[in-house]
Amino acid sequence: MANQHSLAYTKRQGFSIDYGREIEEEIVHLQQAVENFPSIQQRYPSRWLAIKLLEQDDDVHKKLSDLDGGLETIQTAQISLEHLKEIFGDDSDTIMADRRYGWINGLVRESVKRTRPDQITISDRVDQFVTNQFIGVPLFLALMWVVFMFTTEVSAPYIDWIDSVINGPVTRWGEALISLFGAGGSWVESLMVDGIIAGVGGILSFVPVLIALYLALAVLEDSGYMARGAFVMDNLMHVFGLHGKSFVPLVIGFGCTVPAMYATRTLESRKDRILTGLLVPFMSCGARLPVYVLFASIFFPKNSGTVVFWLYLIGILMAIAAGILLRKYVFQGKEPSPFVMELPSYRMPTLRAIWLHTWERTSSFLKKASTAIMIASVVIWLLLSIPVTGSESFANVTPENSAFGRVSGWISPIFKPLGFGEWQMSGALVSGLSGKEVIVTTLAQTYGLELGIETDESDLNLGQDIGVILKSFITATGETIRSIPRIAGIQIDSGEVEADPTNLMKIIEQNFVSASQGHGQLAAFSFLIFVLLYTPCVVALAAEKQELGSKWMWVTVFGQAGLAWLASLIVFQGGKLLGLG
Amino acid sequence: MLSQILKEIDRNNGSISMAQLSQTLDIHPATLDGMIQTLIGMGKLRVDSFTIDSCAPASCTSCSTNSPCPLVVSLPKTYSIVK
Repeated sequence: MANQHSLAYTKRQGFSIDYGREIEEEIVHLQQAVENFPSIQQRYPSRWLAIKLLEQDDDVHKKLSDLDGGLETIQTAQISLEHLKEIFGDDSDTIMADRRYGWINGLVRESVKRTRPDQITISDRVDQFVTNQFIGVPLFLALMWVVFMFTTEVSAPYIDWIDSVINGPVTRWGEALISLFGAGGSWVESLMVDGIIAGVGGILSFVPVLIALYLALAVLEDSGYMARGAFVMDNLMHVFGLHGKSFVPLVIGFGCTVPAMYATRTLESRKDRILTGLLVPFMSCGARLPVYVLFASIFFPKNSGTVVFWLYLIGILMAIAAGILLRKYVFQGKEPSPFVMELPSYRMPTLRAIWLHTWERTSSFLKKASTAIMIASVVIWLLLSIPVTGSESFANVTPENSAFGRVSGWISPIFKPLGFGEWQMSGALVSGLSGKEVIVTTLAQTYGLELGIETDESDLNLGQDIGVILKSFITATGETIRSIPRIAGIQIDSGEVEADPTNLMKIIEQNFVSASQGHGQLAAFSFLIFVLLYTPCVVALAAEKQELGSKWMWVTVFGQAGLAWLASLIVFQGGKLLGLG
Repeated sequence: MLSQILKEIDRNNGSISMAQLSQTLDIHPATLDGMIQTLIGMGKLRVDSFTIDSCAPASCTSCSTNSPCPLVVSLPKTYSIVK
């Protein structure tokens, strides 16, 4: 042993890192082995080569195997590696890198004199507060509440503005254009006005909501806070026994369920992937936001932001509850998921970055409106135009006697106990399976047909229309600016500031009140809970099938629908029993 | 030291931030960063990729972009232990 100890340092010359007795011994053994083969010794310094062999350097292995004696040297190195593994219980490359860092650390400690201790950066100080296990979650929720208050307050005047532009000048221009081609009063006009303008226009009114939300999220993302939010969410999920990295697909799910489903593939275990995939639909995707805002503005005008915030929060709470139950009864046992997260430093967001983020997301929605939503609008219009009774003709049919009205009428009794058992509502929920924002499109089309489009019959005056559009835009901007202090509870104007409900809003309110026998608010909240929880859109289901298989897709289809029905029933019937709404 | 990092990450069995790791092990953040890179190079840690490179082929109707999905929020970089 004493001889081996002396062997350990016999070949060290000049400056070299001391890897410790055991490793140094093996280095010398390998150096001796190398010296038996001149072709290797002439080409490589023996100590360097020994270290590289102990580090299992692939490149060195490849080059060495071509040389005379190379394979024998590699075999000798293998024996050394196994010997070191026995001693340390770890790979020699880790031990050697460890020793190197230890040596550097020691060198720095001995040679660097610090005149003052390392300063904790502002970012670190903020992080101690923001990611604190007790403060982090409430702070995250408070910020999200501010985001939804901002979203609903700031966008409300612009929603009214776009709605008035679409139902006024744009509809008039569409009608005039159709008349120019001699198709006024025909099914072509109905397709343009009742189908495309009412359907796509109905959802375009909510673009300001999305812009406001994406703007707020871009500020949080670019400032570096969103990364902390994800960290806090991850810790919260971990507390409830969910897989650490589940937070990634779940956070993505707030944007869109489709990429969130694909993000489940980042989890190693299939069990965790399935569990997370089943929880993703609980997160409120961006497509549900227009539905939330529409109903919150109609039925809870004074607290619309808070209602939207609660819907998002209920989704998270339901995901946690479902996760705990599924983990306990279906996917027992949790595989460890240790990982380290690199939180970026806080920084001041630039206007350019915020704009780019906001625009990328908004334009993605606009593309969807001009493709998928437009197709859905045309299909719904077609179904609303086909008469099922002999007395009416194509595109000239009472909505409830159309194919869409009849089929929706068959389904509507299912929703009666939930407070919204009318054919328009059940039809909207079914068409919402093609994309949740299509619920708004369908409501705009079905109720729009009942309302009839109220356009000015007077001569078309393009200049006057543009003037009105610009004037109402300026008014909306003024109202938006005045609404910002209200987020912080500051009222700077004394007058009534709530936006006037549009015709669509009024008719939805009337129908919900009548369908629920006077419990309009309760029925609306029950409807929102249903929209939050029911089966995700077909594209998301296709993604789920691709990632998790058909079986789990069907579990989502029926599980989410059943859960939504049950939750809405509890909300509506329970609320009635408690005398709410 | 490298083994300590791996042990600390493993012991935590969830997410731990680089700042927390640096504090717990009393390693300067810049040194820790280098160590993490070494561990990645050694194949002991791996950088997790959460990027959804493109929308699902012909199925995601939200857009037709070939760039990463704009609806995916930028998430922090994470490193996992390679089992």
